[in-house]
Amino acid sequence: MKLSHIALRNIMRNRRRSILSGSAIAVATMSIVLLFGMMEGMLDDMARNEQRYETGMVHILNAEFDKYARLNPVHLYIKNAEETVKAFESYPWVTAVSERINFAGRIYQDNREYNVFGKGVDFSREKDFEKLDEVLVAGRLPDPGSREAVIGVKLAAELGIDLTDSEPDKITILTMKSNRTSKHFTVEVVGLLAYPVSSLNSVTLLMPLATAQDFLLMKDGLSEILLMVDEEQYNANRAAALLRDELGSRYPDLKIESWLETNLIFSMMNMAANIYNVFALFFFVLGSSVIINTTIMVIYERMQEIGTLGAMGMRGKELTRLFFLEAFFISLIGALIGTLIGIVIILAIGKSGIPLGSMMEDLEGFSMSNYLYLGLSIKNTVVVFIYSVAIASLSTFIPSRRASKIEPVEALRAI
Amino acid sequence: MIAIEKVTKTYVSGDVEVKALRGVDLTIQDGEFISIAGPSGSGKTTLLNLIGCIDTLDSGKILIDGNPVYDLDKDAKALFRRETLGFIFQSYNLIPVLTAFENVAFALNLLDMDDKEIRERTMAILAEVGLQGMEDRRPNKLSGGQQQRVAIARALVKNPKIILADEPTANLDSHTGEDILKLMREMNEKHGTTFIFSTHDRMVMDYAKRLVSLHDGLIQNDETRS
Amino acid sequence: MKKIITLLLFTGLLASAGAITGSEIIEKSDELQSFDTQKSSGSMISHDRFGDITSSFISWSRGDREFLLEFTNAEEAGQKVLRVNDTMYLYDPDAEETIRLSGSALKDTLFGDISYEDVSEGNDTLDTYNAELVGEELKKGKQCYKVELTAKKRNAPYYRQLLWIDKSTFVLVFGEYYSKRDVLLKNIEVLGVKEVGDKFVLSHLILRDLIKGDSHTEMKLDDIELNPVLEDRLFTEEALF
Ligand SMILES: Nc1ncnc2c1ncn2[C@@H]1O[C@H](COP(=O)(O)OP(=O)(O)O)[C@@H](O)[C@H]1O
Ligand SMILES: [Mg+2]
Repeated sequence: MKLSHIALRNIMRNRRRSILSGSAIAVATMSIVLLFGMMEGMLDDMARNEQRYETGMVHILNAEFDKYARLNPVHLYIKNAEETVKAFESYPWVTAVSERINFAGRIYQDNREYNVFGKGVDFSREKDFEKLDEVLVAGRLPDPGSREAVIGVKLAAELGIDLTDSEPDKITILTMKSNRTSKHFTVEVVGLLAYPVSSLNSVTLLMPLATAQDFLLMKDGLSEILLMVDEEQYNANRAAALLRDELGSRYPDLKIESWLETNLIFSMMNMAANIYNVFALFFFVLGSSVIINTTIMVIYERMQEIGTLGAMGMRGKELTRLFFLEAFFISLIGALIGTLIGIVIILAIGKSGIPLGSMMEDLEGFSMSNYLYLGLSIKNTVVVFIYSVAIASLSTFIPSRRASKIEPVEALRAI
Repeated sequence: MIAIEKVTKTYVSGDVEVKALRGVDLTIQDGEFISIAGPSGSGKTTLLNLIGCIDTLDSGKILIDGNPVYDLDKDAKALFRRETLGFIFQSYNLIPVLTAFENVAFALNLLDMDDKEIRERTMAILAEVGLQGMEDRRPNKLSGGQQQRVAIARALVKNPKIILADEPTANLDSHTGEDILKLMREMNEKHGTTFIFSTHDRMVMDYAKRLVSLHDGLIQNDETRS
Repeated sequence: MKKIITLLLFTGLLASAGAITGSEIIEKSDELQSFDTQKSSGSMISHDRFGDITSSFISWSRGDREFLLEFTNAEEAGQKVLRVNDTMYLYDPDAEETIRLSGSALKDTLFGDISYEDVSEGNDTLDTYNAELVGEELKKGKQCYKVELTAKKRNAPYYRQLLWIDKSTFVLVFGEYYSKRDVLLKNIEVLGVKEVGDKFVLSHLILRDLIKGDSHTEMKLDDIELNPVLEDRLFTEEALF
């Protein structure tokens, strides 16, 4: 008869109380699994949005651009684009490429001004890169080389564009050519995009790459090249470093960065996520308070038994272990159940997401979706589980140690 | 052999001092079946606890086979108890979550014995105390007498030198009490284990081979019977 | 020759008349540079830390309120800027409609340091500003009146201007343009003046946008034709297309 067997059977002695203790731990663990799931989901979602819409996993642009970004240095673009793209594309682990021309523009309509963020893109590639099928909610994508565009749904609503009527919806955009002189042109809106990131919907305009190159005097030029890489082989940072090593000297005018290097906010958020460990700690201690109390009560109630076992020759540390094991098993079961429930909830609703309504609209600069997704990270979940069990056990260790301090003779005298 | 020399024990609770033992001298040979008798409050339990190494004396000595057990530290006393001493309690004190078998086997578990030997010895002793077929019952499915039999088996299974029983029959009706005493005596004779039991019951005293009477913490009478 | 004499006489007259006021100086300067109609061609060169950009253009104007500029270099070919009264129309051959600018949008950059309102500012200074003679100074080697203009209207392009006007010719030599917070926004330096008939045309000047920092934009007029006959249609939005 091992101590662990006795401990397990002792759990069943006051089943209700054990269930209560376990439940407290389960609830705490589940909450933290969900909290971490939320964090994971949010970071995943933001990472996906950042990568698809902003920077790719690896971001390539004119090395000088960022330095003068404030001045809208449209002339600092990637020349010899075709050849450059080929060079980057030649790596088999580069899974998707986006070629973009970016321009800030303005639409003047009925005495109002609307800012747009325009992108000239090769739709045949961009379709995969941005998963445009998922966001195109009306109409179609522009034909290559045409003077057509797709725009964000909110921008369309503000401009009063309705694709369902028969007349063509044309918009004229004032912007700047790559020689830094002004330019405006008219395009027909043929489709609407509903991005998950609501701030994009009020500014985005996509038009065919060749047309943008022509209008903005960027023959064979691109503002940026975005790459997706096979993460099984290289993570974004490794991929960017490798490309810098191998192509950096051939393209000294280009800056090659991973999206994490580009996006310091995201890196910071990743770090800030550590604050959740403190929340977790707090929650676990709270969840453990019930089992601490239970352990104290159990020791008090089983005084005679402690005396008997002591008389039989069990030493203090063995008695401590007996009570500790009991609390440990409750914690283990509670944490396991909490973790499982958390996982089930994440799997059930995490993918479809919880709508956040318009809450996110004001968060400019955060590429967070309007849906709160919950992400399941095996690593996080295992960590939460272990963390929960560890804290519950550690906190019950203190009352368990009381068992070793009790003199058998006094324990036996207790009724 | 147990040598008890000039042992005193005083309890202090608040302002009140109770002299439970006032200088007890007693020698007990191996294999004795000895009863410590006396009215309630005479110091029987105190004396048994001191021999059982679960309490500390104020002055005097207790030597077991020449070993000054009163002087050992807490853990050493525990190890000494698990190998050398067996306890039987008035209210049986079985572990409620364990079966009869497990309660007995647990005494051997503490000794790091292999499972096969534990099993054989436990089954044998339970048969000896007359509990064959009840091995898998938990204490709440056993009568008082049966529980005390399990307790006797638990004390005996590890072949201790000494078994201490503080009023082992006080919770039992006289008929069952007698059966328990008969069993204890049988075991004493069969295994040669020293039995020291306390009582204030005349009938129980009659089973003793040696009767030590305690009164107000002093030995009043010490008679050996046939 | 005759002209110079007239001018001298005129100046003399003024001098003898004693104190000339700021308004009189501005009125005279505007008067010397205003024509019924004008057609000119020229170029603009922007210099900044990123290099030079050169554009060429032809421009037409009628009175103070009508102005048309058409770019002629390859990059901007066909792009036009039309001002009629307070409204600016931009035309681009790639657009199916004009862009109509008014209000603060006029401060946006047309080319280098030149904003839309800079190219079209009319010679109606005294409608918009109060003028005051604040001194006489030697500026860029010329004896000048220093005149301070303070905005009368809220929509004036600049809150305050300091102008140095050649005492002998009443032509602008140097100007400074301040914001309401008294920040020096731009300055203008006149490097060349063309005399056409009895009028003066600023034919070569440099504009510096001091907010943008290390940059300046040069504007040169090569051919200037005063009082050509221009069709009414020229200064209409429809005619842009
Ligand atoms: N822990 C204690 N604190 C105070 N007094 C005690 C304690 N244990 C026993 N006593 C007292 O010591 C005396 C002897 O008690 P005990 O040895 O239990 O006697 P018995 O077992 O013969 O009834 C009694 O007067 C009892 O009240
Ligand atoms: Mg007693």
